[in-house]
Amino acid sequence: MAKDSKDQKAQESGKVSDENAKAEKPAVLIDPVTAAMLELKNSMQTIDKAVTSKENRFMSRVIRQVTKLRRLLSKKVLLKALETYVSPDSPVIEGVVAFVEGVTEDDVMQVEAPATASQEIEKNAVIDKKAEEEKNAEIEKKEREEAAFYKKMLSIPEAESFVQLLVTIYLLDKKYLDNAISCASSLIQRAQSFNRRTMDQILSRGYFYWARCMELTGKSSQIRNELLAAYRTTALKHDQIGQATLLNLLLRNYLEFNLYEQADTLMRKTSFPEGDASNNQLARYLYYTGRIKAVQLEYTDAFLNLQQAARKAPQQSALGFRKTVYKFSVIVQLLLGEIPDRSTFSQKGMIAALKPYLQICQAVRVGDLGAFHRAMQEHGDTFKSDKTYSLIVRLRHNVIKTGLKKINTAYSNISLEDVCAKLCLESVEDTRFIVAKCIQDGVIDATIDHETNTMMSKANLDIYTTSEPQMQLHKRVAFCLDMHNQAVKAMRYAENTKTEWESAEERRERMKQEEERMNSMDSDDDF
Amino acid sequence: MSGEAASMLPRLKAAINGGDMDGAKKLMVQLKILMTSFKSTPGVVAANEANVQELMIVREFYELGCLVSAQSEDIEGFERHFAVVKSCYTDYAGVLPQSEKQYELQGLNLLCLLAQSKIAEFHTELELIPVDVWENPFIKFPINLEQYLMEGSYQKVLESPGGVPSKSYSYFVRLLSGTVRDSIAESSEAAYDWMPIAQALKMLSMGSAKDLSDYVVSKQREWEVDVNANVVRFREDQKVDLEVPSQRLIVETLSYAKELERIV
Repeated sequence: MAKDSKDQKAQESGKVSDENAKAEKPAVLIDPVTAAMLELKNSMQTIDKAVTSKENRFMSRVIRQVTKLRRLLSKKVLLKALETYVSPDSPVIEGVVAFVEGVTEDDVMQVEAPATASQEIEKNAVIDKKAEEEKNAEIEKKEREEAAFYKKMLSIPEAESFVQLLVTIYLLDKKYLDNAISCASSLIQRAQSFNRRTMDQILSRGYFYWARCMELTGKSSQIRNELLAAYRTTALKHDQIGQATLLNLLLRNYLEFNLYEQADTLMRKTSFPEGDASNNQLARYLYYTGRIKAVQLEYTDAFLNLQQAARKAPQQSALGFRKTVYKFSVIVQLLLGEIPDRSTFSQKGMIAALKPYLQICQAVRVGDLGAFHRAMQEHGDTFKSDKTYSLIVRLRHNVIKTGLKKINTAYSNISLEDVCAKLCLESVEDTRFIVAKCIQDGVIDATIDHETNTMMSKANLDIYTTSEPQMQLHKRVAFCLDMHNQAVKAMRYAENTKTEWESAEERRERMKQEEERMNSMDSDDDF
Repeated sequence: MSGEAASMLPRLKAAINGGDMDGAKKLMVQLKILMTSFKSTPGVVAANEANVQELMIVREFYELGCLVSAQSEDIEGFERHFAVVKSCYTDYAGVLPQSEKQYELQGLNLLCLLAQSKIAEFHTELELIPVDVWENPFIKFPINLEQYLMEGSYQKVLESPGGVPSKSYSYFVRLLSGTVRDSIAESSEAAYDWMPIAQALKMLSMGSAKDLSDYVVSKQREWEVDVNANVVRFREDQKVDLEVPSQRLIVETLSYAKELERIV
């Protein structure tokens, strides 16, 4: 929960820098409501396209535009949107309007018009100059077209649900949680009643925000059954996006209550739909499974998953998510007996958050039990709230192991008393057993001589005479190949339906649109 | 109905405290029959509709059942009983007042998993217990044992029966000592070339050289117990594996070729 609030902050800071960047260009300031309405119209056109072509790809584009719209939302915008896009006969409209009316707004900001909006205005201006009489005809035609468009949108349920989704997000942002919950659940009910595939994505976002509100109000233990039922429905309908979203919601729900057993069973009995689901959902899924595996001591798998999660997460925004992932991955890597890269701790924006983990890491690297305990005591509460405490407790014997390894390389012959003193262990008797266990586990190559009570290291074997280098090489090659395959899988291609010649103008336009889409993908909203 | 069952619980408790396991088991059968008429049993009703009184009886009964199984050395029975108790602790936590036996039983369950070397399950269960409770003596005991086991402080594990927080823990601790003895034997085998019999006896906490010989035979260890020289010699020759792992190399190289082909 804390994570998400951090996420939001991170997003906000991201926004600020975005806006600064834009401010350098000459910007056209227009009324925020108009700007939002233009943006919304843009989304609605895409929805129209999606519905007529029955192409879910356009729908995901609409969902991605939510990030942009979210910043522009205000009471006025939503009321206007409800008026324009939701048919007055709709059974939900009254309730939704009431929710929006109930919000008290403190300030109305002047928002900079997004690129598309300002362009359209410019276009209008150009038309103005061209010819007076043409203009009137043009406007009339445009108006007629627009009226037809609005009328058409009224009959498309996706439009209505989309507006309702925006209202839910708005209520959530303004902290009207109870209203947001009822708004989201009415959205879910209504969206389900249509049984249209183009509705699936809006529905899945509906579930997402519904679960989030429930979590914020502390009711998440009650929604498990409903989520499970919804998951079954999506699986039956082959709604992969919904499946991915709901699977993550369920895992999150279980992990919130530390129900690792249930989460593990769910994870084993289901498979994540990798085909259609968004990258962000995949990153989340990898993070949750990584955590489950870490608890069950499957550190290698856990580490792989967490690494992937960090890589799949959006690199610009979602700082909170990446922080959390790195916290876990550092600990799991330590549990594996490896020392994380120093650069992990000096990443932008993460230095402060990862500092306690750096201390633990240093203690493990040197094999200093004293420093380890100090770090544990000093940052115990942080670790507890990060839910990494129980994993860190397990690191104790790794500290001992590295300590012993160091002693073994430095001394060819050392008495057990000295080992005991160096490692701050409690008694020589314990030391004997610990050394014996490390020898058995293959951590050190030594023998204990009974008569002199010393640990004697065997001559250190030249590692290049063994097959170890080959194993390492294989590990690295496998890693690179896996990374390549993952990257190939993550690429998406539009279905190439229009192969006709396009003019240079059209192509330029298309490239521009695509670029814009890439940008909006990068700062994806659902983190 | 629930009144009758409730009145039988003190008798069951008395039988357990008195160590009369057979009597306790008989009473448990009768109680189970009585409880079949209960409408509120864990897993059947939702938390908010449950009859708290009935659930309390069910919970106490299964808690006692756990103790009976632990004392009569019945691991399967313990796991079965605990499954019900656990559901009461987690799913009905909102409706039922906290049981005074909760930590004792959770600790007992942890110990049971530890004794069977189910470390992954141990940690999964441990996550369900809030970190603040880890200092509770019942919970702390198995946590410490697990740490000793992981780092190899076997001596502390063998000393642990002295610090058992409840007598119900003793069976599992005994079970654990057996596992630990095997681990000690394995690690000494790896670490020492030889050691005096007296030392070996001390490490494995055995009484006489004969016990040791019996142990060696029963576990099929290749140790040489030399009574005359008074030493135990462990297996000496550790062959260096010089074989070329051809099979593995072929498989790996072929997979590289396949992957590269896909890239090109």
